[in-house]
Amino acid sequence: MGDRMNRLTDAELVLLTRQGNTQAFNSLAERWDASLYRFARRLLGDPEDARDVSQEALVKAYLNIRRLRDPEKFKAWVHHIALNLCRDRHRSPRARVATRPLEDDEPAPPGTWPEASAAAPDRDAHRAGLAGVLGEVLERLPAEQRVAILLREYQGFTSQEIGEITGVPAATVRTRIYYGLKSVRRMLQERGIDGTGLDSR
Amino acid sequence: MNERPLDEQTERLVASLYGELCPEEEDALRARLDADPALRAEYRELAETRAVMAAWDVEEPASPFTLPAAAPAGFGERIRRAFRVPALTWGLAGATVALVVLLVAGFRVDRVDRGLALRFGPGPVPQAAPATATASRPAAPSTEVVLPPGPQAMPVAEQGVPVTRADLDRYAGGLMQAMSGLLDNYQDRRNAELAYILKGFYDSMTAEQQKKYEELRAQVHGVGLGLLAEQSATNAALKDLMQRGAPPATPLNVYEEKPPLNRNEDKQ
Repeated sequence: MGDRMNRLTDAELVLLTRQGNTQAFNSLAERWDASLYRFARRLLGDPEDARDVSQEALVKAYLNIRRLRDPEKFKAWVHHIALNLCRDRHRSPRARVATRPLEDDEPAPPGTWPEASAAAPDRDAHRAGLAGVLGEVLERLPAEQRVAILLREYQGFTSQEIGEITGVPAATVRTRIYYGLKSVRRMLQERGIDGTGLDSR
Repeated sequence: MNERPLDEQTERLVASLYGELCPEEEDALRARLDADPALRAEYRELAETRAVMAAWDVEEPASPFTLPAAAPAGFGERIRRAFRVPALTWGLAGATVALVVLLVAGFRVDRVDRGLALRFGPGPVPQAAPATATASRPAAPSTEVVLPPGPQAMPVAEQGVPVTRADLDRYAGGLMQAMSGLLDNYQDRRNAELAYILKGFYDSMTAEQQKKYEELRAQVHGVGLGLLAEQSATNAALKDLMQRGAPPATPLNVYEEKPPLNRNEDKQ
């Protein structure tokens, strides 16, 4: 049963879910749960908040599955729901208290990385330190640039799909990505990091 | 956040970074990159930044998402109870096995006036079976006794015709043949009688099992209807709860504009 479901497209699973097949929705959830979690995790920072958002997004998607106009766009739709939930969390008083004030962030001195300053020669530690810096750098981006970059770089959405999720034209998405990448590069350079010698795609 | 819209060339640069250009557009951009060192440098910077960003891994979710279970508590126990094998069925099966074991061991089942009798050892030549057979049971096998041909008369010496050894041998052979025929006839009828009795047992067991099966099916059908009703009620309650709990200003329309994350707006 599970194997058969896994072979179906999102649109087919959506249609089965609308007919009352909960197994079909569980397959959809299995397909996109981790992606939603990682998106929320990078956007919110907190693993528990991210888990809450990803699960709530899937529950909302299940309850409102009949309102999805184009079943082929389930992935974009459920990420749109997750984005709205993240926005709601940012606006909530609890989130404001829990979130570390941005003003308290001290930029790392050039040439040093958090968690990697105590000689960590191995590659994993290097990447772990770099990941910490990237989290801080992206958090400092304007929100719409951050969302566009996260959806493009880490979730694999096209500019067109990001436009559908965020409600702007694809050209605007590319603009946000361009300025976002430029800002990221500048902030990385302030920390003594450039692309030299790193993995290239 | 005042972003100046990108010129066409820069927008294509970004599109090329993510493989969103068609082959013709990509070729045209490559030609421009070859001819314009500044544009080439910018492309390389953007690509390097993307390469750095690939280092940001996050962990997988700790637990997989599971849709809230719709089955009511105790559902599993109800199903198990519905499918529990009745003791009577097991009792009938056990009795049949015991009967077969006894028969193999040398016991025999004789039909008597008021039912069946279990005896050990060779039985008498069965009498004619009762002529009446119930409608639910097959007719009993014929018990008409067909005697084999009898032995020839014992050879007697007459005057001038003595009894020879060959005469006696033929007479002994005839006796043996007659005895063998009688035994075969008895064995055949005994086997037929046993088959008849066992078939009666089998039919009664089958009828009992069919009856239990119908009862089980009715029970499972009832459980299924109850489950559907409870699931429907749970879904309705959950939907009602979500509708009452969700703010009305959070529609799920993909194309609807949402206010941006304003967390950093003060800093911009």
